[in-house]
Amino acid sequence: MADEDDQLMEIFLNEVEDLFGTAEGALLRLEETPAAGPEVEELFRVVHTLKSSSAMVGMGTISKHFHLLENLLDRLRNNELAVTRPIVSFLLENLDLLRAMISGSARGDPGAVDADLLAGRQAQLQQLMTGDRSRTEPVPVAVDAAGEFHCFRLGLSFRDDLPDPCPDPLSLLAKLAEIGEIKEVAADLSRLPPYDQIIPEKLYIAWQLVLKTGVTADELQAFFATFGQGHILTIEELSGTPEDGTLPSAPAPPREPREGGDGGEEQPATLEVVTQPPLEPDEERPSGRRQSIRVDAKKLNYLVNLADEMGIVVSVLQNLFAWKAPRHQDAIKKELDGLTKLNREFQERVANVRMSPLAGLFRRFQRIARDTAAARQKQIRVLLHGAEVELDREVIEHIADPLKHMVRNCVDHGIELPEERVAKGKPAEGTVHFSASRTGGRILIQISDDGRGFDITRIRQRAVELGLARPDEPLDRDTLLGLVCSPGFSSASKVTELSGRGVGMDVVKTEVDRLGGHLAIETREGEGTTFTLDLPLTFTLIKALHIRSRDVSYLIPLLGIMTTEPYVRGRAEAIGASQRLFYRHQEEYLPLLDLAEMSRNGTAQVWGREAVVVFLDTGRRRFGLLVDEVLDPQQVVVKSLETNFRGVKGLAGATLLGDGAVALVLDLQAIEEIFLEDSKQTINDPVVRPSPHADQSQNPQRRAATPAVLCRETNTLEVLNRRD
Amino acid sequence: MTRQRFTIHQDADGTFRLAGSLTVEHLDYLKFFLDEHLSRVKNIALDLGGVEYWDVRSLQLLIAYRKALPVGSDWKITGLSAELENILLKSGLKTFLCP
Repeated sequence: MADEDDQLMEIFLNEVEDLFGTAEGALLRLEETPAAGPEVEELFRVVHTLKSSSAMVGMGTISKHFHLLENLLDRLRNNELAVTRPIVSFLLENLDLLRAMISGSARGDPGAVDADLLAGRQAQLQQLMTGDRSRTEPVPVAVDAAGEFHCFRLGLSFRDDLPDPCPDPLSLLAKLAEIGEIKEVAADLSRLPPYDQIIPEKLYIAWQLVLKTGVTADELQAFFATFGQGHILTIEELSGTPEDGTLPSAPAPPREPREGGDGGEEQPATLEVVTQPPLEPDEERPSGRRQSIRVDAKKLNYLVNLADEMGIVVSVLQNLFAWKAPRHQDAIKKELDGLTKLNREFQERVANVRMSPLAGLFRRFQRIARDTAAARQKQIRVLLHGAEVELDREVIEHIADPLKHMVRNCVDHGIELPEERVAKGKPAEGTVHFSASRTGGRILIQISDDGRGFDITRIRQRAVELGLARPDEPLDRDTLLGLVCSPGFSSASKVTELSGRGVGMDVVKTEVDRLGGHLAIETREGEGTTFTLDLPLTFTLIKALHIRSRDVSYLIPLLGIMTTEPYVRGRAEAIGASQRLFYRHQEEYLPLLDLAEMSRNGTAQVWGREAVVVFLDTGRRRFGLLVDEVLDPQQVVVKSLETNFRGVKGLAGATLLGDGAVALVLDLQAIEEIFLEDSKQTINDPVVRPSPHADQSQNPQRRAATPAVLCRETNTLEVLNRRD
Repeated sequence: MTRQRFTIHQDADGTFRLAGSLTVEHLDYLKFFLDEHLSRVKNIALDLGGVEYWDVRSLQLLIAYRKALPVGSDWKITGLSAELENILLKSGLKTFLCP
C-alpha cells in the first residue's frame, strides 16, 4: 500500500510540475494581454486538474485553495470579473506559494502547508472576487481633472519580525511608483528609538503616502498582496484632488498590533495584508521529479517495437547456434549485422527519450525577466523563438541556473530605464529575445537584448583594476569580452540585489565548458548584447569522486565505490612470489592497487606514506585502490579522449573540473582487467578471509583459503577449482 | 553565491569612504564602525560615492546615529549618486539623513 502511495505521489509530482509550468506560461501571456480568452480557459482547466490531483494524494487544504482559485478563474472566463494585471500577479504568486507547499509536503515537511497563510490569501481572493464592482455599479471615487484617477492616502508600516529574505520597503515604494504617481510622502520615524537602544535588524520606519493612480482600491490591495509578508496597510480614498491632500491631518501610519494591546489604535478602515515573500519562480519545484520523467508515448512505442525486433533477431541467432552447423555462419553474420544496426538505433532512441523541449526553460526565463523588470521599473517585452527545439534534460538542468543570472543581467543591466531609452531615441519598452535552433548535433541558444550593450572601455578599465590586464597591454575586443567571464568580474557600475555582483557569467561559461559547449558574446554599445550558447544535444554525465595521486586529478565513478578509509600500514601484506599487495578490509583481504604505480606516475611507496584506500566493487570483483588524497564527489561530463589516448587502458575519458583543470576518469572495469591480467602469474595468491582468532599481523598466505569467498567471478573460481 | 562586499576606508582628510552594498547583511559591520570609529570624531564626513545599493535598515541606523550626535557635531554626506538620492527623496528620508 505504501508503494502504491509512493507511486501515486511520484505521478502527482510529475504531473503538477508540468501543470504549474503551463499555468505560469498562460499567466505570463495573459499579463501581456489581460483579457478573457483561451489563456483563461487553459488556466481554468489546469487549476481544476491541480485541485483534483492534490485531493487525490491527500492534500486537502491545498486542494481547497485550488478550488477557490478555480472560482476566481470561473468568474474571469464568464466575464463576471475583469482580467487585470493585479489579478494576474495574485494568481502567479498564489501558484508559486502552492507549488512551494506541495514541494514541502512531498518532502514530508509537516509545516509546509500553512493554513493561516492560505486563509490570508483566501481573504484577499474574496476581496478580489467581490471587490470588482466596476461593471455592475459605479463607485464614488475622487478623481482628478481628467476624471480618470483615484487618489488614496496610504499608511504603510511593517512588522518587526519581517522574514529574510523579504522585499525591502524601499523596493516596495519604488514599485508603488510604477502603478501611480506618489504625490506626497512622509516617513514616520516616531518609533525609531535612540541610537544606543536600536536593534539594527528591526524596522522602525513607517510611511504615509498620497498616491494618484488609475487602479481601484481593490486592485491596490491585490497589488500589495503580491509583496512580502508582514506589511500593514491602510487605504483611504481621498475625496479631493491630490493637491488638496495634506499629510498633517492624515491618520498616523498603521502600527503593528501588540500582544495584549488594547486595540484602541486599530482603525476600522485598516486592511491588514499579511503575505508571503514572492518565491523565486523556479526554486521551489516539487521534489522527486528527477527520479522519473514523462516521455512521449510515441517515443516509447518506438522503443518497444525496436526491442521486439531485437528479440526476434536474438531468437534467430539462438536457433542458428543451436544447430551448430558451419553452413549457417553467413546467416549468423547477417543476423549479427542486423542486431548491431538495431542496437545502434535503440541506443539513439533511448538517448532521444531524454530530450525535452526548451519551452519550459524559456518560460522560466520569461518569468524571471518579468519579475526583474518589475523590480527595476523597466518595461520589457519578451520574444520567444524555437521553444519547441529539444535538448537533453540533463543539459537543461545544468544550464538553467547559470542562465538565470544572464537573464537577470540582461534586464537589470542591459535594458535601460524607459526615460533613458526614450532619450536615446529607443522605444520605452526594451526587448529581450530568447531563441533556440538546432544545427546538426548541436543546439544554439541565444539570449539577446536591445539595451545599452557592454562598455568595452569600462571592461578594459575593470580588467586593469582586477589585475587581469596591464594598462598598456593591447587587447582586442574579443579578448576583452572574454574577460567578462572571469570569476568575480563585473563591469556594472551599479550592483543590485538582483544581479551584477560579478558572479554569473563565469558560472555560465564554466557550465557551458563542462558540457562541451561554447559561449560567445556579441555586443554593440548602445544597441544591445547577444549571448550565444553552442551546446551539444546530449552528453554523458556521471557522479564521481575526485581523488588525487601524485598531483594528478582522477575521478572514480561513484557507482563503483564501496567506501574509503585512511591507509594503515599494518593492514597491508605482500603475498606470494610476486609480493602482490593485499589489504585487510573488515573480514577479508582484498587486492590493493597503487594508482601511482599503475599510471607509472611515481614509484610505489606504500609502506611509509600517508594515503587513502578507496575500496571498489566492479560487480565482479572487489579491490582497493591506493590514492594520495580523496577530495569531493562531483557530477561531471565525461568527454572522450583524443584518438591518441584512446588506447590507454584504465581510462574512460576526461573531464574539466570546476577550476578548469583536466581530470582523468577511471574505467574500473578496465582497471580490474589490468589487475586480472597481472594476477595471472600470481593466481596462487587468493583473496583470503582472515580468521577472527588470527594475529592480525600474521601473513595471510599461511591461512587456509576458502574458495567460496575468493571471488564471485566464475572464471576465477574455475582456475581455483582446477588447482584444487 | 558571492556576497556583495561593503567596505569603509578613511581618507587622509578624515573622510570616511563607504563602498559596496549597504544592506542588512552588513549591519553589524556598519554599527561597529559607527560605535568604534565615528564616536571618536567630532566632524563626521561620509563619502557615499562608492555605495551601490542600500536598504532601509542601514538607512535608519545612519539616521538614528545622526540624531544622537551631540550638539555642535558636524555631519556631512557627500558623493551621493543620483539614484540613491532619488531613493531618499521617494522614501521621504532625505531630510533625516542629509538635512
